Amino acid sequence: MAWFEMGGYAAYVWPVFGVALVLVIGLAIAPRYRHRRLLDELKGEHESEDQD
Amino acid sequence: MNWFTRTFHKMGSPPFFYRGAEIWVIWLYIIGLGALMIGTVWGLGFTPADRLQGDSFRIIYLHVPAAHLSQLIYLAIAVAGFVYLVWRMKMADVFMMSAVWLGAWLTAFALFSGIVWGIPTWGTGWVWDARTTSVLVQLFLFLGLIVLRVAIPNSQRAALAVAVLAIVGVINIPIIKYSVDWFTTLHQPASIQIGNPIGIDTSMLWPLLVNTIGLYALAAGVILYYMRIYVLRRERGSEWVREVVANQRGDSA
Repeated sequence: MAWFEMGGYAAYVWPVFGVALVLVIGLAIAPRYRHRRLLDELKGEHESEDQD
Repeated sequence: MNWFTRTFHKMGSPPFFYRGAEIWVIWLYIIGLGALMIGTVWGLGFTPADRLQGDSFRIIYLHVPAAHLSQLIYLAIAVAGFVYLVWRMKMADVFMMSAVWLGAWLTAFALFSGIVWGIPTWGTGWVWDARTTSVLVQLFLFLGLIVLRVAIPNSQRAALAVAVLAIVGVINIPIIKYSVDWFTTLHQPASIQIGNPIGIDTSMLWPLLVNTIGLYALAAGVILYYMRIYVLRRERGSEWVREVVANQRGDSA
């Protein structure tokens, strides 16, 4: 398909859009993991305090 | 007190912020990702090729929003640094922590997309001129802010150091902005400037606007999400955090 060839600039256009896709997904979901890790960490802290 | 001042005061309360910001994060994500999808498909498939640059110009739809937003984030961090220095407002420090990584990544992406775009258009990926060098300096400033935070164990001192570096580095922002006007450079001047007629055809402009709105909304959502996380961490000893953690089971937030 001619569209994929990007008028001969496919080697420049697609890598930029590909990297952007990975970056956007990565940046968007990273805080979710950070959040979950912190909640687990706090849960552990609170449980060990409650045992004291 | 009217609605605005009441809300403003409540936002300073950590549990109110943590709970209230969640719905904002969700909507900013939906708007941001949605607009980015629309703008990108539009820009790649439904705009004419540039007369001079052919299809390589489509890189503009990611390069310009990322570069622009990275500078805005730097500026916002510097303002937060000033607020922290003067009023010692905790939320200002939370904002600095939450935005710095995003700023670094966006700057790196602006450089990367600029290099790839430069190869066919300038005949070279990199030149040491005012624009490229000042954006590289911005990347190092962001990395400096990250390293300072890690290197200083005392969190209050770290916040002060980060605030001071952020404010000092603001000098770089006008250099980036005016580098294409003041100096001889391969980089073209901005096509869209306040007070000047728009130097880009509307058929090419719309996807750029949509992607810009999308990236700004998503960035706001990501920063707000991290702010919620760091507020939770900062308040870890308090009763409301215990409640949040205790009620967590089954809730996937």
